Amino acid sequence: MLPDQHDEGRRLNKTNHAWALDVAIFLIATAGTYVAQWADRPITAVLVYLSGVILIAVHSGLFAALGSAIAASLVYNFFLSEPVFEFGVTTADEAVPLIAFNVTALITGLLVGRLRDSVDRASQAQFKTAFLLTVSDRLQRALKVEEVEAVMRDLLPRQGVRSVKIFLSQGDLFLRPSTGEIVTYPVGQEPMTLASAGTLDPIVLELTGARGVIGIAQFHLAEAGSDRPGVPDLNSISALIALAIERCVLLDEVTEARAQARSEALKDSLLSSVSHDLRTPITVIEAAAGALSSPAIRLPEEERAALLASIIEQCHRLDRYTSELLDVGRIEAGVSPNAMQVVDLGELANLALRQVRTLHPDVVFERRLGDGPVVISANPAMVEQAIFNVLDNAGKYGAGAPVSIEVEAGDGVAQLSVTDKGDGIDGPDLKRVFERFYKGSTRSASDGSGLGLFIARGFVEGCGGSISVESPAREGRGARVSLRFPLLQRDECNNGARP
Amino acid sequence: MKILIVDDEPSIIRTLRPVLSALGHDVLEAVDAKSALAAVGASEIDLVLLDLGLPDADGSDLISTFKKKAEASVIVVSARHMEADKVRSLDQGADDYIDKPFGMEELLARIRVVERRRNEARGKEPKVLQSDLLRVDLKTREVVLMGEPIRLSPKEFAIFETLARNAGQVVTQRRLMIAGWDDPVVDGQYLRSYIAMLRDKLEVDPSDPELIVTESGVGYRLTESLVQVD
Repeated sequence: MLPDQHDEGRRLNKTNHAWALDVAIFLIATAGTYVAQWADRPITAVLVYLSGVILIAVHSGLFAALGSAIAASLVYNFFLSEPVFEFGVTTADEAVPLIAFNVTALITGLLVGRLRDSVDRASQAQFKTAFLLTVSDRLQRALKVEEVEAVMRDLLPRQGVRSVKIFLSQGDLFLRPSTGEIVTYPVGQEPMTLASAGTLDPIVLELTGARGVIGIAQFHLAEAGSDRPGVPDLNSISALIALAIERCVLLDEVTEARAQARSEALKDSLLSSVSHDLRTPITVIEAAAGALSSPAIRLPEEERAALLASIIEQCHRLDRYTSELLDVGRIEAGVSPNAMQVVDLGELANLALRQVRTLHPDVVFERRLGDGPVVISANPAMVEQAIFNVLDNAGKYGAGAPVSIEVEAGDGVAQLSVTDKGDGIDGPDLKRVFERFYKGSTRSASDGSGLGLFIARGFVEGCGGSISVESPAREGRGARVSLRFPLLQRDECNNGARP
Repeated sequence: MKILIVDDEPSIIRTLRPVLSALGHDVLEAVDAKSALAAVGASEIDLVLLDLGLPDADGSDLISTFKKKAEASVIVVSARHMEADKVRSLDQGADDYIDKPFGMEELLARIRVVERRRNEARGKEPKVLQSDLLRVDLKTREVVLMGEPIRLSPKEFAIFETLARNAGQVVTQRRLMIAGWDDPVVDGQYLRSYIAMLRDKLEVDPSDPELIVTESGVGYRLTESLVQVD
């Protein structure tokens, strides 16, 4: 679509061809006229010559036409009309062909020239439009101001513009986002236009959007090359640039606003979850303590003991929840490589089991550990906590049925899986159980904070492992949570995993 | 009274039950909306202590059912602390609202207000509401504070009457606007200036009100406990 360097050569070639064709037409017409004259058909002879001149005029315009008319006059006068080999016009019959040649050439040439000019203008306009379309099309895809400039830098050099710089208005200054370059451009100075600018001075145009001047564009024209297809309409181009920039800026704002809204919504739900989980135990403690201390409330001794017990229980709950929140903080801080040790996954499972058994004394936890140690590199406290959280979950939702824990090694992977025989996890919940504060749709608030599995995943992934859940696990019931870590080979664990 | 505690936290029910029982109330419990509705259907409940964050429904959606079907009073007990929730619950017909965590004394005081009002409601339309400090004659539209007659303009009285009839309980801005201007969306500035005028006339220190307290974002509460006198 766009003309390029090859056009130069083609244009030159075309000029040569045109001349050759003109000369050929002239020679053929001369030959035809000669034959007609020889056959004593003077009118035919003149008409043939005239046709030649018209053809040349149509083909090559006014100057070629006049040239061929003068040549035709000379040749006709000298070679073809009586007296042959002599110039001179004696009779009107001899003058008329000469006048006809020249007048016809003049008129046809002028008409053809005008036609050609308007065709040229039309094609140039079409070319400019096509160029603007291309510009607009490419700019549509730009998402950043830097990209807008890159697009212009790509397209404009073929149009006689050496380079373009785009600056965004920043108060009194103008900042170029692609380089950080800053320029001043006094407000109130008349914006330069094509006409008033010297050929090599940069042309500075204001970029005006819906909110007024949003920036400026600096165009550096290439050294004057007259046979360029013409510098495109920079005013239109700056309007397109302004439009694209405005779109980029709005896009940025929308993205920012959306992100802000998302983080606000997340913050709200976090706060509401945290405040609920912190306030519930505090409510119990405050109400129970208030009841115990009020002289107006007389309670039997066993009720007083029960209220004291629930105060202690809720204090433990607050403590657990605080630790969980701290764990979340640790996940966000990441796991330091120094905290990684060579450990036996089975050993960590034992430690977690001991803890969880005191918390769920009624639940049977079946242990199926392999023969030897299953060694991994991990932060032992974190992995133990992760296993504990998974076991605790199974204890809570396992419907009182036995929970099994298996540790196995194979194929470079150390795997620990915990399987319960509870109601399992519904499809929609399954994808979300590892999310922060996510509580299953059918669980009541008392079941937990919604942080256990989130922390488990955070700790496991922080130690280079992975965690997954499947449900139903066995015979259409229950859920299985599996932790996987890269298995260390025996020669990698010289410092001894087992204490 | 027969009190239904609706809360998905068993620990809260475990704490409230013995205290309310010791005070002579009959306590029922429900851990979700479904069992709450079942309990209301099965027996006559006087008061529902309702937590809004239930696992199977938003507690505030139950309020109108409690009010209509069981003619029960409702005190919303919630940890959410969102003004919009409170206003919505009160507009749905809740009698009062208390934030978690609450002091046991405060909760018992709110329950006493409900109890007294339920007893009064069984009688006829009140003529006079009074306490040691304050006397409001609804017929003659006279207000006497510590033996001193207080002159209130008709609009001031209309607003104060609404607070007095609900003495001890929060009254939403909306209800006060309807009482004063018969328009629930009148400019809140009007209400604020009338409350300020009432405080000027009734409070010991209008800049630190103790009689007409603001429930931030929700409405106002007349703290004086008024008894109906015939």
